[in-house]
Amino acid sequence: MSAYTVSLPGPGPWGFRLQGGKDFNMPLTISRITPGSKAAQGNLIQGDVIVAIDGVSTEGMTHLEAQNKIKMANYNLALTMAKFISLVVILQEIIVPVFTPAVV
Amino acid sequence: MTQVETTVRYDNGYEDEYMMQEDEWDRDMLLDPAWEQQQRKTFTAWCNSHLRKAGTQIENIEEDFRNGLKLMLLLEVISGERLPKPDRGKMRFHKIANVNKALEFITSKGVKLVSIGAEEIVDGNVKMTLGMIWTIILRFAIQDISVEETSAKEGLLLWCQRKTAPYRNVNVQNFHVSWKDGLAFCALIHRHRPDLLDYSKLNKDDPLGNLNLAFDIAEKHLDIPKMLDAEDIINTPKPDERAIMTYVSCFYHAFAGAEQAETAANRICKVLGVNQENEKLMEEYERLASELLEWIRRTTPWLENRTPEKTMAEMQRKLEDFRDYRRQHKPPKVQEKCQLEINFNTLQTKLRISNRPAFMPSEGKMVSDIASAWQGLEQAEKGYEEWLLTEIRRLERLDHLAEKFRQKATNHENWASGKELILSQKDYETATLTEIRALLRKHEAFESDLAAHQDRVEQIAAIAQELNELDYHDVAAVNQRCQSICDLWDKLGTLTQKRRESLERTDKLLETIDQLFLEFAKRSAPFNNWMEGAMEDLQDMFIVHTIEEVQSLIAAHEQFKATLPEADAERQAILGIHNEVLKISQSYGIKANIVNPYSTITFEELLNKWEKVKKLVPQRDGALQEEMARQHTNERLRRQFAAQANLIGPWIQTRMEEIGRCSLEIGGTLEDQMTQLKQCEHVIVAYKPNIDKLEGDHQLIQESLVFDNKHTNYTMEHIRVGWELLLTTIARTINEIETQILTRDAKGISQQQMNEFRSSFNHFDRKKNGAMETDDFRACLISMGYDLGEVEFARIMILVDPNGTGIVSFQSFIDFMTRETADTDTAEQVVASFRILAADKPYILVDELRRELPPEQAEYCIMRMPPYAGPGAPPGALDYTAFSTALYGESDL
Repeated sequence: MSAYTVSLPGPGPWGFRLQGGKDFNMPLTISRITPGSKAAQGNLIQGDVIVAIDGVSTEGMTHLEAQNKIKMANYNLALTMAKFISLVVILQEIIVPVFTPAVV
Repeated sequence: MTQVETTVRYDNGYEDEYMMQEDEWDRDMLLDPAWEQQQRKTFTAWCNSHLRKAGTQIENIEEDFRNGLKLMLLLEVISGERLPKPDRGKMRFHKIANVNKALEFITSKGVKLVSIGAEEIVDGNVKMTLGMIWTIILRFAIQDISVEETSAKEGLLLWCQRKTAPYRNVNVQNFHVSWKDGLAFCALIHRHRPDLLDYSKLNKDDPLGNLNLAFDIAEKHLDIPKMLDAEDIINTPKPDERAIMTYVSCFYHAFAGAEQAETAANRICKVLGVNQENEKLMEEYERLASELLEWIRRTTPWLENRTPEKTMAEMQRKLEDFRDYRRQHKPPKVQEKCQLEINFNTLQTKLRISNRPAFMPSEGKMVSDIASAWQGLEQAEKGYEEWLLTEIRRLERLDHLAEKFRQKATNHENWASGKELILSQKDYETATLTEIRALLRKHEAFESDLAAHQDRVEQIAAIAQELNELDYHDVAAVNQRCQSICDLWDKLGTLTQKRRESLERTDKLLETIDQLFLEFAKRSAPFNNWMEGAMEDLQDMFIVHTIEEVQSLIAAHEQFKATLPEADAERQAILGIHNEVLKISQSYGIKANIVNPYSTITFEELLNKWEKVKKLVPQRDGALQEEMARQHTNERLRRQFAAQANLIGPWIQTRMEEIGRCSLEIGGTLEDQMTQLKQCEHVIVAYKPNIDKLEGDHQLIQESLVFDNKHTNYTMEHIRVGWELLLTTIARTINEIETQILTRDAKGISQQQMNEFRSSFNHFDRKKNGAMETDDFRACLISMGYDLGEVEFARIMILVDPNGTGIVSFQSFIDFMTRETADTDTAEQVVASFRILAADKPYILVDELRRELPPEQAEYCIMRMPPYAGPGAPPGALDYTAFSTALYGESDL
């Protein structure tokens, strides 16, 4: 998983949809980016996971907490992102082939 | 008077004078009775002055001479001769006889007595007596006076004049008036005896004083009795000449007698003096001659001395002495000789002049003797000078040679000093090969140096020889030194030779040893390496995983063991070399610390290593055997594991396939599927012990550090992961089914719908892996009648695949499909609901929530809702939008 940080110049709205949270058992992801928005200009990628907001790790954050944190951003918003790879894909694309004995 | 010729001989002169005087006498007598008085006084005094010598005196001049005895006595005294014996009778004829004797005597003295007879005298004729006395006086006191060949009265007068000449106030011209002032008398006295009176104090105007003074002094000091009377003289206009003459003649005799005596004495002295002088000259000559001869006699041996001196300095000194002699001592002697000659000649001349016999010097002191002695001296001188110069030259040469000798000897000795010691060194005993070589070269250099010095030693010897020939004074020391030099030289030669031999011998030995060392090094290095290698190998930690590996190791080890005998042989050989070296150095007494310059490896090291190697070999055998056993054990474990794994692996695979099949199946309800899955799950759970057992086997294997297993392709990890995956898959699949059930229930999808969805999904799931790819999905939608443009499709893709993974899961598919149909509460609807409650405000107040919602939900909202951060909001305003979106897990920010 490769991480990168994006700094969006303030103020909001930033132009992205936040989805997920601990209460949904889903990672906090950007499910949608409004074209031409600051988020789009900041090269945010739809589907990537927000690992940290303004340097604060999102681990264990509920959706509301994340929402508040983003809204509380001083002026610029720094988002540390990570590429999301579907677990299923991992399972199905990587593990299963390994599991399968190689044909000698 | 002056008419009298001075050259007239004595007798003639006398006669003339006498005759004249007689005439004068006669005439005078008749003229002046005063003179008679004066004469009487004077003549009496005069006679007494002579008679007193005979011890008698006269009182009365005419009476006392009458018997003629005193007259004869007087004559005897005056003349100093004996008269014939007087007659001792008292008779007249006796007296006459005596007087006649006297008169005869007088006549015998050349005085012609005219008209004076004995009878007159015996009769006491005053005039006659006075005349006779005057005659006597004249004859004996005056006649003999001779002054400058003027005699008698003139002579006396001349005498007076001469003597009083210096006195300006005295002018004696006669024997009467010139004497009246008395100064003449005083002058006479003063002339001869200035100590008797102070003439300067005399006064011309005091004739009395002067006369008396003179008479007094004459009587006291000159033994001249007073014969004149001062008053008489002063009072008489012309004093009696005869009286004055008589008195003055006494002065003359007193002084001139003294003078004459003096003169006579002088003459005698002169003659004697001449004699004495001559004698002295002779003596002087003799003395000088003796001295000179003595001097020559003393000097000649000195000049003939040919004792050589030892040093130049002494010789120089001799030369100096000789020069001194020539410059200082000889010239006076030359002068002396000259003087001697002169003296001799003078003496001879003098003697010849004074009619003496020629001077004959004593034997050996003759002029010829002196001359020859002098000649001898001069020859000796010359010879001496020559000798001195020769000697000096010789000494110079000797000195020079001696100095040369000394210098050369010193130089040589300096060079040679210490060489003996150096040559005797045994430094080669402890030298290494290179050092020996260096020593040899040094020695060569020394040998050539020695050869070069041969010359010099010979030179030294030659000089010593010459010094001997020239009879150098210190030749003994020279010889000694020369001898010691030569001895040392010989010794050096011998030592040099000996040293050369020793050096060469040592060189050879060291060379041999060096070769041996080289050999040793050449062989010991590889041997050492081999041993090091062997040790390494023998101690090599092996990590083997298969029996074959161990077997090959064992084989290698056996091979190695086979090489040991060869190695041992090599070891022996090297030992041999080492011992050889020891033997040589011991037997030839090489004391140097023999160190192998080619090798740092010592034999001891080699031995140690060899022992080690020998020890290690069985050790390794053991280790290898152990390993072999271990490998066998491991193999067993492997097989065991493999057997198990080979069972479990496929079993898991089968289950996975089962599950896959099951989830993809369409026929039957979701509940049926669920049941099947649950059953599967049960089976799986029941299979766990196998996994555990396998884990146990695996642990054993791991503990044995076995990491590979060719008996199976399944690793523990594989199995583990597979198992986990199996568990996860079954759980997920069950979960999926549950979700689907929920979704179906929530969305009101019938089983049939579900099956339809499933069938479509499966159909378009080309890869049959439970997920559709983008193209599949598109195809699927088209088949369902969704005619989509790109944009639309993209929007839909965003919805179904929000993460952009490129695949659509069945769940998302269903979500999408049902989204279109269901009527769900969306976030917007909730927001819209809140807005109504908030009376169209973007925020809601607490009171409003409490008023509109049931208390529980109201409190829930109040707690959860974030404060509204927008403009124009009163305190306590809550953001319901954020809250709502948060509920659905979707916020637009």
